[in-house]
Amino acid sequence: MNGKFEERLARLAFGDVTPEEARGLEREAQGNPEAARILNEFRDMRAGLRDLGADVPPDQLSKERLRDAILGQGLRPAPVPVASNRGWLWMPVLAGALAFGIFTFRGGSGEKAPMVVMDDSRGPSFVAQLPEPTPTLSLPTDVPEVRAASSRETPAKPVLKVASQPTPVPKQTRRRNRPRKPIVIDSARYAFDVRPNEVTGGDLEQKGEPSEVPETPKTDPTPVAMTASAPIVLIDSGKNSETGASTATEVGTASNVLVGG
Amino acid sequence: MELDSDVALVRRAREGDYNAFEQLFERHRALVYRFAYQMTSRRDDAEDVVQEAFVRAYQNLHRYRDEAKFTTWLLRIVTNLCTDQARMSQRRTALEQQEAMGALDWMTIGEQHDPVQNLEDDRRKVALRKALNALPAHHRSVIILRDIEEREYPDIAAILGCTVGGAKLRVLRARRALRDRIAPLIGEEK
Repeated sequence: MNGKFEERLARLAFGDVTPEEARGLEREAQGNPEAARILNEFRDMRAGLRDLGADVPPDQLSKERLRDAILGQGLRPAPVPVASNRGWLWMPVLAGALAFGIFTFRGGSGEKAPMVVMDDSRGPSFVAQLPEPTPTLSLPTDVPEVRAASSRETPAKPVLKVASQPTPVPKQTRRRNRPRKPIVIDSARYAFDVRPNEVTGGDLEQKGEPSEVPETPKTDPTPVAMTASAPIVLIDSGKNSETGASTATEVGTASNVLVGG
Repeated sequence: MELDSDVALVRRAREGDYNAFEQLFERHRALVYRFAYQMTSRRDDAEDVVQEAFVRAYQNLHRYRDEAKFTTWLLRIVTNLCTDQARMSQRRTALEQQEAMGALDWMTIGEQHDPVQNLEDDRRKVALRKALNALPAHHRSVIILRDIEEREYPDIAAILGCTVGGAKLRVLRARRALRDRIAPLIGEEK
């Protein structure tokens, strides 16, 4: 008997063929006694297996027995695999938190202390840059000392350091809506007539004749233009009673400042 | 009426709800026991297999994938357990096999708790049972799954971890092997 034909008979006996194929195989088996015998054997086998399925004694299993078996092995409920499904989330969250922290702290530390532009009688204006970070800001008590300190090679002990070379005022130090460079006028040296109503603060009224117009810093290629809307910082000769430092006042505009008389 | 699907019960069991796992046990223990009994032919062994299968299922609930049927996953565990048990028992049942070939083997096969009942069993059924038990575990399991439990080929393929075509081929070979074993026994009976 052909092995393949026997397989087809087995499939026929167990109902694993299409109706058309079944009809063809039935016709073949009828004309072949051995094929018919094999087909009957497979059919008897199928019926017997079905009977075996029903011949199963009842079990004596119980929930308590299962519980005892589980507890007996010290098993705990299987942990919820949170990490496997969402474990990857901690990475972008951490990255976002780090980025937020970096930008936050950079923004805080990046904000430099206010730039104080001081006039130097010996030459171009120096831009005093405060060291960062500066927990306390203490200006020297005497302005001439600062001038003297600026000429030293090593900076003086006072916290305020004067740059040896003038540096341009960085953008972040500029006030809002004040894009133009401030014009610094030392009130101790220059007399000018300031209308008190238009001064933002401090007593700036001094009499006298202006002797000079502040020079443009050498490194600054563009001359300082006293335009009507340019801010002006006035350094007073008087000192702050608390700190002993010179006080400075920013004038709103130069429109009310007469230089030269 | 099913209040919760198997998937829902598995999820609850994963989260620590042991009652949900007990519901799964109550729902599927009969099916698992029937299969285990056909594989082992002994009630005590079948109960041990069922209990071990559910303990392993509880232990590995986190590995169960929702897209597969829970019964498929469970029967796979049982199949592996029965195969391992058959492998272990082959080493120590040489004597038992000799007894099985003897004249009173109908006393030791099937329901041991009722030998009188065994006397009344149909000879063909006894021979078939003997032949089925004599099959290798990988043949026996597919015969049971397809021809006794009447599971579909895709389910069988999922349980065995093979293709549908592979499952059909395994079933076909197992049937031929069973027929080869039962034929002499039926001839002897006659």
